[in-house]
Amino acid sequence: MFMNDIYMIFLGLLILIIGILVGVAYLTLLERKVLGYIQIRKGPNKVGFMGILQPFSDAIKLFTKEQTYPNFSNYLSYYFSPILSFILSLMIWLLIPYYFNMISFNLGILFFLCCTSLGVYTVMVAGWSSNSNYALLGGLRAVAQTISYEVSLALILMSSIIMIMDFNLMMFFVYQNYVWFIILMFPLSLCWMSSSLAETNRTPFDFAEGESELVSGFNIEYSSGGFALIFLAEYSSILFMSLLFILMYMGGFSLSIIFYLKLVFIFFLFIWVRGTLPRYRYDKLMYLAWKSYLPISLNFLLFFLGFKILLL
Amino acid sequence: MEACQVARKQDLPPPGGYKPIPYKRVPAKTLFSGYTMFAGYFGITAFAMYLYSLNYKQILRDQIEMRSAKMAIYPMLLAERDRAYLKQLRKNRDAEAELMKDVPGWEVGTYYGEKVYKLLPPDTLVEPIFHEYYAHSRSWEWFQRAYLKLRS
Repeated sequence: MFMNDIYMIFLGLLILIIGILVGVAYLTLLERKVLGYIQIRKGPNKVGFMGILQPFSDAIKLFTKEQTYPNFSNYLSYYFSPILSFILSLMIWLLIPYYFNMISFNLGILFFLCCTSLGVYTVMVAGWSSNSNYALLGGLRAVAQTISYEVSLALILMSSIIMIMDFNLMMFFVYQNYVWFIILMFPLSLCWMSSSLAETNRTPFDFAEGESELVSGFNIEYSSGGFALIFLAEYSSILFMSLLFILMYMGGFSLSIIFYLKLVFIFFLFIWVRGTLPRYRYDKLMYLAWKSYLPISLNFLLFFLGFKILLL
Repeated sequence: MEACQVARKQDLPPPGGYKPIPYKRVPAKTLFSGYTMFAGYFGITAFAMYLYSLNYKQILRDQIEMRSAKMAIYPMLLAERDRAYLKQLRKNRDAEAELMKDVPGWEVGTYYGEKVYKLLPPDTLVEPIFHEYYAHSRSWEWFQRAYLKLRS
């Protein structure tokens, strides 16, 4: 029984990690294809059959390249921050309502908030320890933006928590049986969508890597494996954000094909936004967080609190 | 001059001039006015709130049902547990009698006829400790039970 539990936990985690990695790989392919068709060109279509092996080719290319490191960097923190960010983004995925090893998180939402907050540190350390002006500035921008949007994210989440009166992500499914929360709290869901775009440094808000000002952002000095890990961490957190959107607003978790179609649709939305909208302005972004989303989410929080009290 | 006999065509605007360049902005068509959108938002939200309240009442009913079912089944579960416990105690006594049948002067439940608990009245049920309860079981089962007990 004891060893059996251990084996099952290891097996479950292995399947989970492989699932995430393959999912992230194909999401990059999806992104490149969709961006290609948005810009009226074909995406990758040569490797394998119609480009289906492109992500693996990319991964092999990235990991076989030479890993450089800057001479005057702070080597240990430089080396380990991508690894840490990757581990963190994998740890968040423990939250997925998952039937193999039955990790039932009663405080899953708190766990999510903890993990996303910790993810900021890795970006900060990566930017600082590269000992490069661009990396430092990119890291600072990313940290300021991510922290600001975490506030609005947490406050938007509060309304949903009030609606389900629980920290367990499975309860979203129970409470959205009659009506999806996207209908109940449509403006909040839009706020959540754009906040998660900003939280994951996605395109209309990707000031961490403004190509024109900051060559590539906090990850300039990272070359092969480190860059791949940062990339994987970023995309898996994006995928988790779209998962969370579905959990919170579009009917919660159900082990069905519809759930995964919804997931792909939300991620498609992320890509669509990237292909359509130009970059925002940094001060406007900050004002958006502190002067629009904060009051909006607080007001909605009061509203839903009153509604819930009315129902009791 | 003589070599260039091909009639040259000067690059000129088409007769009547170029068409005017369309530089006016084409704003997106407004499907709903602001009032309509606000009204629609409030209507949809109110309806959703109604549906949510229905759902919430359903959940409360389910919780009450679950709680009542647990309360109803609880005495039964307790009785089952006690029965299993007593049966196991009986089995332990039998196993002890079987084990010690060749020892002269051994009485089951005592130490050669000497009471273990001297001050207790003779028919008191003394609950055995974990190790004594599983003393006659297989070691692997004993280990599993210990694992469950430690982890629950």
